[in-house]
Amino acid sequence: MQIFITKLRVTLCIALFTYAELCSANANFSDYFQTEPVIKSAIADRVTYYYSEDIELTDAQQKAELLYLNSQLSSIETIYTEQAIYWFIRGLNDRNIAAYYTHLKEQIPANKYIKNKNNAYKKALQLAKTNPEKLSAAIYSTMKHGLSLDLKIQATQFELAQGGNVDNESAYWYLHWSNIDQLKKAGRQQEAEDAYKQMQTAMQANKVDMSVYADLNQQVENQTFNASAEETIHSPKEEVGKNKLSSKEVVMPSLLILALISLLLVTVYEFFIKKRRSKHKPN
Amino acid sequence: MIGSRFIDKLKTILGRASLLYLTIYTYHCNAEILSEDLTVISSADPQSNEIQSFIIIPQDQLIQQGIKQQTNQHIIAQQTPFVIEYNKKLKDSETLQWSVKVSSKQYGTINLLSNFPGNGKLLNSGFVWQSDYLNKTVKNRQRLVFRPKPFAHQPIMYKKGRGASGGRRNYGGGTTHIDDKKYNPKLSYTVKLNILKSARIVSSHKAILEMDKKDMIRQEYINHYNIKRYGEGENGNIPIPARKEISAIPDKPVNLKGNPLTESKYRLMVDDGMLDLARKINNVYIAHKKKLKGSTSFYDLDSKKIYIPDSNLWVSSGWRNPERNEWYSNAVNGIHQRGGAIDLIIMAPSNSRDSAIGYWVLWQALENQKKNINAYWQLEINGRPMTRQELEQDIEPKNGIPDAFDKADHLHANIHY
Repeated sequence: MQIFITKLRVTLCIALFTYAELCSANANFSDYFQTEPVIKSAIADRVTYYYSEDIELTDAQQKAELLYLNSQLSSIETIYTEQAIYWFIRGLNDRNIAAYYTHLKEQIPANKYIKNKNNAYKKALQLAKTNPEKLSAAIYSTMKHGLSLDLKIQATQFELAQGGNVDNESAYWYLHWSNIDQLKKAGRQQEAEDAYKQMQTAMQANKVDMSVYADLNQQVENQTFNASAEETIHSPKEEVGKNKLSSKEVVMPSLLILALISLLLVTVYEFFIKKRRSKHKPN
Repeated sequence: MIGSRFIDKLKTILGRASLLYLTIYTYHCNAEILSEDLTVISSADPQSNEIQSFIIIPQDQLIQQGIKQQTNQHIIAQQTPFVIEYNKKLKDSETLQWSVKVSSKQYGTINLLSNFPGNGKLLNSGFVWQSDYLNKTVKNRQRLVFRPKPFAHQPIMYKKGRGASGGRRNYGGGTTHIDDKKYNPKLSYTVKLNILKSARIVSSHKAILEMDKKDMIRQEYINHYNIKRYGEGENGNIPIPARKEISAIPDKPVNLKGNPLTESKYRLMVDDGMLDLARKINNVYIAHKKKLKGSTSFYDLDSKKIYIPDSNLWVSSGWRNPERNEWYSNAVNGIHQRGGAIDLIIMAPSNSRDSAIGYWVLWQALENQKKNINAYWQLEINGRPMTRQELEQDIEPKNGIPDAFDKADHLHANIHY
């Protein structure tokens, strides 16, 4: 009887919580990502809500919500496995779970879900490769962060092809710059030069006021055609990371040397003690 | 000898022909010049009225005027009917014929208040209404009174997303053009009066009532007043600027790159503290960048020292006319329309490490000078503000920089309202 009551309480709590969450999940997937979710919109809306809003729930409530959404998405995987948009939503929920564990400073599950997210986004991009219009600019813009460079380039180029996703014209030209920047980083020089030409053609076609964009164009041109410009703009941090040892990396060898010196000193000391003892030993 | 005579005759003929042409041309031109014999009331606003400009206010709608924070708001006056009056005495033997031509086909028809018989027809070039011949028996025949047809807002045409071919959306309306027939036409009414005697025109008079740029801007606010974005959600409630609140575009602060303080093609704008805010933000950013460059105290979340790139700030958006706002912004009541908000981009490839560090430096600079700046700011991605989690966490990508700065596409700042 006691077990039954406990079970009932738990079930009611979950039902109540799920109901409350459905009411509060007011972020609309189609509005935010400018395309239809294909899967049940209530699930897509709740994933979007968790991603785009500040969540005012306890940790336990967050966990329940995220795992509920995860189980819902897992249960429909076989139906939508060939749908790019499904994998995007799946990846977005994995990102949300990773953010939750990061908040709790639980790095192992956080890393696991970041990996899941990247795999899901990779799958979405693969499925959309032959027909990029399956996904919207807003989706590509969301997915590109944290992917490998090749996939990031693909997402950026698909986003560009759809006119970008930001509410001002300047950002579209900065997205072009981003594309060139990434191609340079990937060592794809010819593609970077082609992308620069495309940017200039698009600017002319859009009758952009070139006096406004003169500084920007100069920087993009320098970066595209000048090998050293790439270094100046992008590499210092990475160089710092590569060339300078972190404090941990510096401390570890120092400790090792200290330990070796101590060991040597102890050995020498022992040697002298032994020698002295042997001197005083009665024959 | 014969040749020189022939040339003289030719000169005379050509001279006379030129004179004749000039006479005919002048006669016709005189018929077209604006008549001082017509008095025009086009607007309740004295400045608009003086230049025969106007705005079109929907009947029975109460609209607030006065957009700036310090301006006292009041309900805008109801639409003044257009009154065009022939101010000379007419003879009983003379008849009149009025005609009105509307410049835009879409907003073509007029609501005639004068009780004159006549006919209207829609042409490709616009709408034309013409009265019958009005003799002395027609009451008040010297005064033509009519109202313009109100504008209609069509929210669905602003809907964001990909274009018809799936490619880049062709943003229209007030974003790149003014005087676009579909979105913000420069509406004008050409009123003509012919005075006839024995079925022969004895004099012709013309008046042109035409919106100037200030009134076109004000009309945009009226057209977007109380509307819902895409026809859904909350209603807009941005007040209409008074003419004196619309001014020329001031220069940007030095070192602040990018667009002028508005991308609007009107060459006019509303500034409700935006310029001052832009100046403050630029100054604190430059000072903080300099300070960090000269110190060794800027580390990422993994305790690695951060290289500070020398990126400038770039103005991406300042004042937006309501047409532009509806095309580009998700906020129907966006403060950009009030002239109190500015969007800034770090001048580096978007979502690059330099861009991320730039936004981080900018964020720190603003947070350190919170009291002095006395404004609100947020980092945005895809038209939404960053969440608290994104400002704290480093997972997308994991690179020692909080996600918000990696993902930001611009910083939005506005004065407090």
